[in-house]
Amino acid sequence: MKEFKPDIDCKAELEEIAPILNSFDKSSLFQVPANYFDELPAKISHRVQAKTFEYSIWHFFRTIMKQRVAVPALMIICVVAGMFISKDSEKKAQLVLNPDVIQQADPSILLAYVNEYDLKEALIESDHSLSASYLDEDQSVAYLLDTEMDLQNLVLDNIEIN
Amino acid sequence: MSHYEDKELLEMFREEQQSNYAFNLIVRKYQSRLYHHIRRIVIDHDDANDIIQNTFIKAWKGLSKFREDAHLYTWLYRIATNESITFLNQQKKRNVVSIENLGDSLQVNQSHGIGMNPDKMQEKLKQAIEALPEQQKLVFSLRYFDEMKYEDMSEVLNVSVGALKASYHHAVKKVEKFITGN
Repeated sequence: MKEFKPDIDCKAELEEIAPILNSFDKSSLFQVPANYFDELPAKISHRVQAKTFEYSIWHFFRTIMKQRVAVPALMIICVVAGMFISKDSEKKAQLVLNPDVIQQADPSILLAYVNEYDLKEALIESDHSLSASYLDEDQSVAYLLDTEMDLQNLVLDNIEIN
Repeated sequence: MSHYEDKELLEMFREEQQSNYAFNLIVRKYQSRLYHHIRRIVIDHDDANDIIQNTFIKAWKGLSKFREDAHLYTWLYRIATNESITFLNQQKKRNVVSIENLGDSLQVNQSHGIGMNPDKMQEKLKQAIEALPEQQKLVFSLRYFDEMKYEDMSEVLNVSVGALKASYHHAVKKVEKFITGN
């Protein structure tokens, strides 16, 4: 990489074309404010530092903006996932279940959509010998499976009630 | 004044801990030359001050991607020239200062003590240069004042050496005619 060097042929060239122009003092064409070149580097340095800060902020937002498809998609995924994760069986049922699906679903899966209290109540309704206080979830499930209780309708009733 | 060569300055700039220092040295090395080049185009000191700062800001932004097959000073001159021309074009659109009123604006600058040399011949030279077409003005400025080689000017202005020689020849003749009154 070469350094800047004035062309030594300039004066000779000018002497051929217009010698009078060689007689001018080229350095004093414009006056410059005192200390201007002493202060200019500091001014530029301050602007560069300000630009560096602006650039880092801008770069951050550009990175985010480049994900303009991913970010909304991620938000949608989070919302949908949140709906699925929700333990509110009522909302879950409204979103996911329909009667046709329920009729064909496995009982053990359907149990996830039935409120434990409602399940016990249904069991006792069907068999008054059972005592609610002695029924835990596992016992409820076992009883349901043994009796082949119509769990589908129980789920549907659960939806309607709620 | 920096005693570092351009190649050394670029190497320093690429090292993160020395980049600010290296850039500061580049500014100090080229500020005077670039300022006067800009000032000869836009005339007014305040405008030249804005443009030279913008020039170095752009240089700082682009320096990390600067290819070493180009020359640093021609690259800086090109940025300065483009910034100056852009400024003039914006001025034309805003119709801020017309050529006819340029003499008045120079008088205003003189009253603030910035820009005017009392020497009448210098003043005539300035007016002669200002009367040149834009391209000839640039060529004349770079060759006459900065004594830049035609090959370097070709890099700055993106014009062939032959065209530059012809343009300079015509510019010099016009300036001589203006000054001598012939």
